[in-house]
Amino acid sequence: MAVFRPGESIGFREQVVMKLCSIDMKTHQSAGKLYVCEKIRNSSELVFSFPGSWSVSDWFIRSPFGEVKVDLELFPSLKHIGLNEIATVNEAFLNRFRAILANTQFKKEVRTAVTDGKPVVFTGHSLGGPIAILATIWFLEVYIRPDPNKVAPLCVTFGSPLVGDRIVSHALRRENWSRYFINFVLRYDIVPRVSLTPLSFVEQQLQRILNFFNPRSPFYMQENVGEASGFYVTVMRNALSVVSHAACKIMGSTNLLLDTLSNFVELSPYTPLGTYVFCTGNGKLVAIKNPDAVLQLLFYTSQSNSEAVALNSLKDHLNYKHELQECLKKQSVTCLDDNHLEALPLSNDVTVEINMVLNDLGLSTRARLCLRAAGELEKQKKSNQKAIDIKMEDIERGLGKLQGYKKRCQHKVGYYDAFKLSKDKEDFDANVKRLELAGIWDEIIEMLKRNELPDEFEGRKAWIEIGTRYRRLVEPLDIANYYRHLKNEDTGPYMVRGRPKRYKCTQRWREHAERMSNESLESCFWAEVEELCIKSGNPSIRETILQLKKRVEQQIRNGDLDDDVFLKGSTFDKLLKEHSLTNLDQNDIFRGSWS
Amino acid sequence: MLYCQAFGQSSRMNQLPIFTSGFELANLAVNSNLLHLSLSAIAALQDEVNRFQQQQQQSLPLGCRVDRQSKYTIVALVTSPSCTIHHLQQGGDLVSSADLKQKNFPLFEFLCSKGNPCFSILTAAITLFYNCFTDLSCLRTQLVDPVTGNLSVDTPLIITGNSLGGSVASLFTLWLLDSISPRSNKRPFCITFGSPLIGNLGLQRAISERSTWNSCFLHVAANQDPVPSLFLRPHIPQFLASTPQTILYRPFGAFLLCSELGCTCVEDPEVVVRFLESMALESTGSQISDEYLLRYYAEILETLKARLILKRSSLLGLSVTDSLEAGIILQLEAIGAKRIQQPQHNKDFTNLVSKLKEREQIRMFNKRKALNPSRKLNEIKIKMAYLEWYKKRCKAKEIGYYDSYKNHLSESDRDVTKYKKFLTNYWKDLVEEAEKKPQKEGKFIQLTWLFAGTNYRRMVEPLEIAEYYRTHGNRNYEALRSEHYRLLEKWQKEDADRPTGPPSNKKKKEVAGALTEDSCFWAKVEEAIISCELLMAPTSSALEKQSSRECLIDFEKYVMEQIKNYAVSPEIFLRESSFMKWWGMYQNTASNRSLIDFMRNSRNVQYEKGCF
Repeated sequence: MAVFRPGESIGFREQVVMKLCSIDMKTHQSAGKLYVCEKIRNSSELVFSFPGSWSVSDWFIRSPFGEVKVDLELFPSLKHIGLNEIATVNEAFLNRFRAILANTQFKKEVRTAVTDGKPVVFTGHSLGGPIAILATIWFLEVYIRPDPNKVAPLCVTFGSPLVGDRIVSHALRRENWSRYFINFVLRYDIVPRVSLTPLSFVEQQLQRILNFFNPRSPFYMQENVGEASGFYVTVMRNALSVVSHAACKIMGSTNLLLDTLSNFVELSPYTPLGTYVFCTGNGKLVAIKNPDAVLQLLFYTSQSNSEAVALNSLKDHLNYKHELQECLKKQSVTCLDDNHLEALPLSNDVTVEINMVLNDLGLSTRARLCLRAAGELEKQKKSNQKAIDIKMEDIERGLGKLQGYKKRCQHKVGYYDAFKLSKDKEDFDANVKRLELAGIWDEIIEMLKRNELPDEFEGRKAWIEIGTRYRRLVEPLDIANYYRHLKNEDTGPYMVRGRPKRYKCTQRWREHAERMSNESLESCFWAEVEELCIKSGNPSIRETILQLKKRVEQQIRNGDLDDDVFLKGSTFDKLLKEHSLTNLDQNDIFRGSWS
Repeated sequence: MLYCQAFGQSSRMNQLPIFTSGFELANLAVNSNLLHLSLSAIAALQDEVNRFQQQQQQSLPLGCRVDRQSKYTIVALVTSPSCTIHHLQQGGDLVSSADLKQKNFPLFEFLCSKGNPCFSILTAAITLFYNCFTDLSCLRTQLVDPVTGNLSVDTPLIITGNSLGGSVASLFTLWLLDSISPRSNKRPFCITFGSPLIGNLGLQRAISERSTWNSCFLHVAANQDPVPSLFLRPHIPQFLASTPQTILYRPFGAFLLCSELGCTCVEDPEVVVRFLESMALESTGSQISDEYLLRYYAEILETLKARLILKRSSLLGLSVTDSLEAGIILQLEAIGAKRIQQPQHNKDFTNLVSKLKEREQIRMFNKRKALNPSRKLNEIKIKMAYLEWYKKRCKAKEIGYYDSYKNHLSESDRDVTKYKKFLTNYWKDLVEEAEKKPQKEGKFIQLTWLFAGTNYRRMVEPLEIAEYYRTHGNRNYEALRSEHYRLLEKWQKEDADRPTGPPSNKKKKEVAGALTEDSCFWAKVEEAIISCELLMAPTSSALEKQSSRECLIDFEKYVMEQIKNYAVSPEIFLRESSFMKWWGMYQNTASNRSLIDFMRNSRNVQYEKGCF
């Protein structure tokens, strides 16, 4: 077990954290302001602190969880690329952030800081936390994504509710942005857990609880033990449902009853993102990055032997400043990485060093088993990734062979038509190669679908690059095969129902990596040609063909497509001739550029 | 946990990290409120039935009520007079599906499939079900829309009951599941409390064969209740290891096993049996009334719900470091298997833990093995590509792959046997598995597989036929045809239910590369050749000649039909093909005008181009 100084392990300086916490608590007091911008003395950081808002509708816009799909215009990265799914976030928080963004002063202040090369910190306590998180994601999208060399932002929250679903966390890890988010959570603080509860369960009490936290409310810190106890029990029960469901998944449960039950229970979509730092309540800090483990800890750390902790669950939320002072004095943070998690001791034997801190977090054996499973799962994903990385060589070899085939076919009618005719041995060999490659890629796609690869996988340059080369080189062969076997007759056009996922997915990889808004469909060129050939008798398609020709010429100029599509006798060439659209001059220009 | 079976990493079984998630599932179930609502519905109905009984002085065998709540629709079933253990023991034998059929009650016959032809049910349960059949039929009409085959209630449907009432609830749920269209995604959820086991291995298999059915059942069993473990051992004087499986009771569905200390949820039947056994050691076994048990369940669930969010300390020793082992011990602790943990039982306990552990490992291993069948499909496609290439080369030699393989002269013909064997083994297994499945599971094989299967049949069955007729004297291939080809053809025809119109232009244009649609075409050619020989042989009897002539006329007609539909590959017209050999022998006796015209004028050239 490694014990680090805070600065080394999670990338911040303790004085800064203390300062941020004070600013955040003070920000709550500033009436009517959407945010506070402040400089830290003796330091270059520019701090944007967001105050909490204390009405229920600022948290849950509707029952049960008030989530909404993100707007990809605002947050283009918040999606699962392989599965083509868009992330969801809490709509009330999103609306509040949009209101701040609409305030031009905010954008301007941020822009100035970036221009001056100053590091920017977004921070918030309680319901200010989610806004800091959304602001940071926005900053990353606007400034870091186009230029990763710009000074990275930092996001620090204290007792923040959860903001987004699993896909948000996945996307941040994929973009390697997860490290910029640090969330402090006091062991019993109820607020981060409330996000796991459907609104209907707490609707009656939530406003009164929020008043308890609101420094400008007459009920601020007015204790009502009875209410606190009921609230604590309700929130914990719902949190337990969420973490139990998640634990079944990470443990690889084969019991289908899980699906049946999921249909009967309202489960919160929200899940933690970034690094979490749990405060034990007696001066120790535990940092953890594994999102599955963090979710489990959200329940298990505030589990107790009795319901008497209910009042602590409210008080802890207002206790960050004091608690952090204690922790940072001791200057020790324990980091639990995946290797630690999978080997966590199951008993609370105090002679084991790591138990000093695990016991302070109050982890039962069952909690420890869940954490082990979370660590094990991540390790397994990494080893799956290693296994397919080895396959990359096979893909490379296969592509090399097909590249050679393509080159040889250049002297004939081009490899699309040669493959479609499949007259010679080498056409047959190419087909076998195509199938071998399809086998490898289908496997990868299948693993993505089953969520068996690390979140980072889809962000890896090497895979995006080889995926694009694969798609451009081999998809034409799939199209040729499709139309050769008349699959369009019973299945419909290739683009509508015949296109394999392995191409759709690799296309999205590239589109995301290159921040392209329109579809990068150059590899489907032949499918378009085939469909036009079918309609060839119809003279009205002449214009469409002309458009296609122009687009293809552009793609060739960009280097996205090879000029062999114009080879004499190819399907495209025939189509152009049929509609008298050949233009010898232009062809010659491209002929020259062929290498 | 995940396992990268995909790339052939073979980790040894005991190295795989395994967790049991029984606790987590139980948390979810108890936390969901479903159990409490169900139990309240049962208790309310029981009260009502008891009152009614006192007034009327007559006993209704079964009480039932549909309770439409805001979130769920709950159907409760209770028995009256409250059934006692004595009552259960009296009807404690099994009745087989064959007997039920004989006694004119074949309602549950749908549970039988080819792979699992019979099953047995607890007599007490099926008798009660039979006696209340009219009421239950009525109830079913209220719940299922007969036109759409969907549930006709708006909210999720829960069927529940305690003790024997729960057994009837299980049977009724099975009946509902069969009534619901397999396309419907809404299914009832059956929750029983303290019900006895109601069937044998056959019933268990029947339910687990249908992928979604098993997960529709949750049986709650508490450790003080003797009923769930009542039939663990059969009611025969001497129980032997050799006792046939058919008379042993077996659990199905998931079990929520609980005590005041905690609960866990188990699905694997083996594990359920072991857990029930160790719980049986705890139960008093005395005559406890149904009403008492009902209260007992209510109390236990209340306690559990309150305790779930509280932390509990465990007796788990420091020596346990294995996650699976720790999980199993914690579960045993939770269901209150205390006695077995006492020092004098120490060895039993260790044995039990290691048995459960092994069981879990095997199950996990099998699950991982079953992952991802699509990888195999790509391998199959590669083998098919080899055959396609073989076919192409044979065509270039003017012989056609059927006859080339039949003559078996070159190295490449022998290679083909290898691919053929691989493909046939694969499809035989797949078809066999698919066929065992119950009919209602919907389409036998998914569409992609069916396309691949049809392609396989059209490509490979001619090779099979060639091999068959290579041996001189073999006749009548179609009578001895392998079952998997027959089924693949049947499923393909069932799938393509649209009427076959005249061939499209595209089909005509591409006929050159297409496979002959009727995969038995060559068998028909071979039979025609044999008929031809018989017809011409001077030794043939008049009768033989007559029947041969009839066969040949049929064949002519058949061939012409195929040609008109563009359903045969033009390769049959290759110089060296058996079909041309037949025509050579027969052309002077031919009678079909169109065929004679087609063959004499070499229209096959046009045919190949799609413009005949």
